[in-house]
Amino acid sequence: MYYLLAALTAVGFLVCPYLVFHNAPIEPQMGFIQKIFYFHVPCAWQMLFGAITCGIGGAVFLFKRKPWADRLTTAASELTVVFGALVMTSGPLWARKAWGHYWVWDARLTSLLILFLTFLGVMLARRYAGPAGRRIAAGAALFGAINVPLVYVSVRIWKTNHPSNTVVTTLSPAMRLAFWLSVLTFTLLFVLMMWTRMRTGRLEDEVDELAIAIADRGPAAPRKRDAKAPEEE
Amino acid sequence: MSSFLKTLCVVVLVSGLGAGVALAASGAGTGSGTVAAKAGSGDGYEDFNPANKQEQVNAPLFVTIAYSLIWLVPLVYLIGLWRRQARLTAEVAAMRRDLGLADEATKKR
Repeated sequence: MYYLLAALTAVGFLVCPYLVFHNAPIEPQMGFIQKIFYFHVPCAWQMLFGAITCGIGGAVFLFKRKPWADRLTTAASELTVVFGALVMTSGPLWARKAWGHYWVWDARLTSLLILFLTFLGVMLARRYAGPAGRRIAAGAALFGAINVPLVYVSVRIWKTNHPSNTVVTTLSPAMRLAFWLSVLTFTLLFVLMMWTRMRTGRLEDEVDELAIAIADRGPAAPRKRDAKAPEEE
Repeated sequence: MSSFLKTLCVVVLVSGLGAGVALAASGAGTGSGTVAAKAGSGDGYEDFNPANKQEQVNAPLFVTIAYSLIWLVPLVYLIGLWRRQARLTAEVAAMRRDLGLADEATKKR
């Protein structure tokens, strides 16, 4: 199943560029730079999806203390950061052409930056905050997930330069096909990455458990010097 | 078998990256990407107009950079995870072996 998913993702990544660059027409107002849209928006959706997943994992871990929830929080926070980094590099490149600036302190961009930094914090807390890192990360993930609806509606509440959420419904059929295939491919990629990261997390937990078990039971075979030690004392 | 499939996936993803970069870069030839900046007055100075500055952006180059990053970052992340998994799997096997020896030693005692 895992390899089928990997194969489907790989096929999607082969077909996508063809549809985006060859089939989809060039948007007359923005020109060729609009092609970034086909990757930027799916990445942003995966980022928001990752943040929600991370928040759910954090909530479950805080209230139920399930190890899988901690693994889910860790995996989802990493994916949120990875997809967030992609959104925040592809977006400014598009903005430079569309608005004349790489970055503007617009409501959508600022709320997204806060979301990205929150999940970067979750990831770092989980990795470097020691034994309390699990709970700190879970709490921060829950806090970060609350920001997701705000990011989504920010373009409606405030006047922003960023295109509205309804732009997807206005696409021509050829653009729509390329766009939705791109969304599907990035969703498959997200699931593949999540699956792989969860597996890695399970192995990391297993290594920790085995290390504790080995430490509890002592060394495998006592060396001669260790065996003599009590007599010397 | 699994390593073969992983290698195959990486090859396909890299091919996708190459094909996409080639297609994105070929956008320069469509004439739709870059709008030529207005020529200066001919006295060696360029007109200062922010609107013209916006038009000078090389769209195919920007699309190529964005596309390459979007393909490369997840690929590098996935390869990193696969390598870490292989290392951890080996570590788990070694620790289980050690633990088995430790169990035998405990039984003997």
